Amino acid sequence: MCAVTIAGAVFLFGDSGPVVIVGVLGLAVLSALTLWLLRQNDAQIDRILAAHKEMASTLQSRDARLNQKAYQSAISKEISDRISSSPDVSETLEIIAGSLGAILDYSAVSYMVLEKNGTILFKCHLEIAVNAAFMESVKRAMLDALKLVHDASFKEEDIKTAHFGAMLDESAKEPMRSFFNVPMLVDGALVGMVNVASVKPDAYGEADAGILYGVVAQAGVMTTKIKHLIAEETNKVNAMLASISEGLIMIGHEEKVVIVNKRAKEILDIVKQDGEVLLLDVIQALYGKFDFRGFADQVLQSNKMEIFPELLLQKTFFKVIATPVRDRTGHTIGVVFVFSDITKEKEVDKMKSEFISITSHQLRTPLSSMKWFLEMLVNGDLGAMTEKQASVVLDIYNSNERIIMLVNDLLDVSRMESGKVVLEPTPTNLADFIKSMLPEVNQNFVKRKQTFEFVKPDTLPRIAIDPKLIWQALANLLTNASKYTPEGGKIKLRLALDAKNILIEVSDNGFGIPEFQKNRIFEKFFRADNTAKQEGTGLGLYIVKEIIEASGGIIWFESMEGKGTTFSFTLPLEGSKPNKIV
Amino acid sequence: MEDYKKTISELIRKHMVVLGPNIALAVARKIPALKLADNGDALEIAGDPKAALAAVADAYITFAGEISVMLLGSVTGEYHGH
Repeated sequence: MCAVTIAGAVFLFGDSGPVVIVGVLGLAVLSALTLWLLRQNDAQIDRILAAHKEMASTLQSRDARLNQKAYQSAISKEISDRISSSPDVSETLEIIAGSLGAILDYSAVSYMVLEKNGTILFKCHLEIAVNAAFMESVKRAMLDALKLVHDASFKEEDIKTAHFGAMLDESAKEPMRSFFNVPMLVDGALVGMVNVASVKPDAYGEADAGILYGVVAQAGVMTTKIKHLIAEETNKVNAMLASISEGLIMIGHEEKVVIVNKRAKEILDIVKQDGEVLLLDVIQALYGKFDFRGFADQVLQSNKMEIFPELLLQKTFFKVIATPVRDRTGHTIGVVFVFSDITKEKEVDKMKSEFISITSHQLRTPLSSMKWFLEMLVNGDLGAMTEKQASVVLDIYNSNERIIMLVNDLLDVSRMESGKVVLEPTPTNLADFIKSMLPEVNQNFVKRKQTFEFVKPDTLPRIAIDPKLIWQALANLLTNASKYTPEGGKIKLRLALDAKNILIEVSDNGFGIPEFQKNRIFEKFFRADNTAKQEGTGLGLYIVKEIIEASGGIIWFESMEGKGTTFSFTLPLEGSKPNKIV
Repeated sequence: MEDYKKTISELIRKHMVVLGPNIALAVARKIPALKLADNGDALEIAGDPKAALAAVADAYITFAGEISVMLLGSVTGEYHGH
């Protein structure tokens, strides 16, 4: 410690500063010094407070910017998700208007959409109760803006108005005191507008509006891009559709014709080059020939492809294939109809049938003569032959039998296709009838050492069927079962009864049908790959199907390669329709 | 100078209708060379009027984008040749 005397005052200094002051002048100096020190402290505190304030403000504005960015990305994502497959301005503006509460205070948020038909959709969401004059001011402010940009006026009757949120309340006297509009442009054209309005004066600054401008501009760009992408894809599809030779019509939601290509218009004789083709146009064009709407309903109900085999339009035959159209989620969104010209196919088919018919008839007579003479030779009626000669003649006889079988099948097909076979139903006890006919096929099972089982209910009602044709079908199935089952295999014939039908099942544990060929099994001349070693014409199952369907029944099968096959068909208890031509 | 004042006033007034008066005036008032009335009239232009018009147009285009380009087109079209 040391002592210093200044103007009568004694200052005693220790290690940490003055500690003792003596005298009046010293007291005055001390007071002044204290005041100076306090002021210095205040200034320092002020500086610290200011720094804190600045930092808080910086943090606050950074938070605000982050919030705005988070809002912008959230809203952009929602818009992108919602309009990615169909750019809808109304939906976009609805999303934006519905989200504004997160960033702005307002009394009302509204949007207008300029619709394709020239009308304007005006939707206003009231956050607080306001009077009708307030809402009218909002509408007017938006219409003035639209008029200015479009340089056109809009009639009141062209504006569809709707308001949501708080009720209109005439006792609320607050007028609209501040607002701003945010126009939305798509592809360089004004398509809509958002309005934010408040009962408070000067409620919105440039920064508030700036956020919304950013969001709406981004939505506009997004919508434009999606619109261009869709237009590009549509052009590609249209070019493709215009170039195909099939007529194509697709109907979508609310029975709207979504796609109709040039060929379809030609087929249906719809002369509407630029106009929109309506469902009614299609129905009218097909009236009395094809129930277009009914067929579409049928496809929607079954949710699977349906085929209308033959439709005659303007001297041309078409096959119509209708298929359900599904979206990404598997939900059915429409039906597409393909009209394929089958006139040439039919002509070729007809020529083929005629050729087969003529040839078969021509072949039948000499084949029958050969059969008789060969039978005489085999039976020794024309004298004895050596063993070798007898063996050769037997081979010739068997080959002749196979040719006769083929010719008979061909004649059957030919008769069916030309409508020359008449179905003559007579009341029949099916079980007894089948039992009486079984010896005809039983020799096949015996020859191949196969087990045959016939299962039937104790009683079956008599039904009207054409027994000759039904036996032809059943014998074919039983012969096939034996032919395509290895020696020692099992064949089973089962009859059963349900409320409306008699069910007939022929099952075997034979070769089965290859999976990839199952859809062709009833086609003419089709033979599965795993049956090539067995003799056959490929006509049997075609004939069977024709007979069963003509008798009012249905036929189907279940098969697993290497395990066996079950062919099933029904015959209606009400009987086959008489005089039906097969 | 008067022609530029008219053009700038027209541009601001159109923006007041389309964007709303508060926002449109707030954007234009950021141009230091301009003195504006509350109805959007350009009362005074300090310095080069052409530069002032360009500054107003830039400010609007920066803020509102394509819609301002459309409005600018309509105004400059009306005053074509001045």
